[in-house]
Amino acid sequence: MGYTFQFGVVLDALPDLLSGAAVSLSLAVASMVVGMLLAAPLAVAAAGRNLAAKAPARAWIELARNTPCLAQIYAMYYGLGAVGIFMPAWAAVFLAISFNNAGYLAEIFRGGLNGINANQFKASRSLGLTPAMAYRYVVFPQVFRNTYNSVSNQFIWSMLNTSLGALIGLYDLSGVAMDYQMRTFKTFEFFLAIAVAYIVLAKLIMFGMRFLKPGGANA
Amino acid sequence: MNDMFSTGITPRDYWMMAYGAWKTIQMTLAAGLLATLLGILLGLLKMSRFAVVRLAVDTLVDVLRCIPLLVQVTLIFSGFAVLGAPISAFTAGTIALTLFAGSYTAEVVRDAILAVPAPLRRAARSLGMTARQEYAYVVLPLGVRQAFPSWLGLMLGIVKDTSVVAVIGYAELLKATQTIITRTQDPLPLLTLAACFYFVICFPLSMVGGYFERSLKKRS
Repeated sequence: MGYTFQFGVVLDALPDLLSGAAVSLSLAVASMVVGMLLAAPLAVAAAGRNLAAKAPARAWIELARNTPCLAQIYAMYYGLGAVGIFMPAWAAVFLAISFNNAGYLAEIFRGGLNGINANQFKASRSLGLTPAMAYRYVVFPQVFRNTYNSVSNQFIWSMLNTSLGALIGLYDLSGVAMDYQMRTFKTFEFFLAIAVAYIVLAKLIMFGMRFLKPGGANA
Repeated sequence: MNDMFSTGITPRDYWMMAYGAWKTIQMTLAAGLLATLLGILLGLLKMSRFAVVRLAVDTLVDVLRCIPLLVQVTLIFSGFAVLGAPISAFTAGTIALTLFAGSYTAEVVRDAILAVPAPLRRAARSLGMTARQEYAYVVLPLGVRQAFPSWLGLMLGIVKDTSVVAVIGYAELLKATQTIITRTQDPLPLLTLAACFYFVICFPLSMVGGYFERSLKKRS
């Protein structure tokens, strides 16, 4: 035996790999933003007493957390396709990961909401704030700060989960590697290269989140 | 003969999905056991006296957490082939899941050990217990209570993560479902059924987990 590693083909594919990395990162950012916007009301509904709001919120959270992310992507791509809603791979991955993020983030926020003294909400209400304003200006700024690290972890998670999109033909980092693997049979070389690329992306997200942290990097 | 060319869902398809679910369970059990052992080992090493050991473990855990499971599975599968010692999809998937889940378990184990109050541990030592006795009779019983919910969450994560091993051809539940969908072209009922299978696997686990958690709390 004896295997010769050939990283030349990987270098040749560099432009495609870079655009793949851009797809991975932008999908992660977009689904994280949408996920957070959905997660805040979900968390409030799941923590509340109103059953009409609580039941669907709990169902969303349980479904998102207890089925494989890959199954969720399949459900968007093939499942919605079966009822006549067709979409490109990136849209299916974006919707599936946003759904997934919303579920996980809602559970994180719910934990954060439990840590906020209920009297703060009552005080804001008695000062004349509407419930929406109380959550927007008093409760959630604190929740965001207290759950910041978990949210950062979730961000990295969702970036890693975009790799599953390759299985429905998304041309992200993993998709590019799979494509080139079929053409060149250099599976190991390509996947080693994208493994490094994913680490760089994860570090980039970690660094970016530290930079964005309320109160500065050392808070 | 009729079965082969029919495009409807046949009883054999349900059997195939059930078999896929069994393969999911098999891999979960193997990877869950190994990941727990690896996690305990790495968790203890994380608290080593030697900075070099701590740095090495932290780097390993960090790297494992920053690479998608899909990539890890493919790398391990093709890496062994490149080295001239090809392994089965089951082995490659189990190794990848063990490393992936083990790195998370390490964190749980470390947190559990740190959750045992230091004065209690010193008290154990001052009563004449050896380091080993201290771990066996003080740290372990208290740490397990602390770690159990997070550990169970990680095990449930493995059930879901086995679906990724499908990329190297392991015909677990989701792969089996996908194969049937390719023939019947009717994804909705089959994907729903697959989700039900996952629920049937995960729900008793979390029930048992909840029961143990409550009884552990009662005893403490």
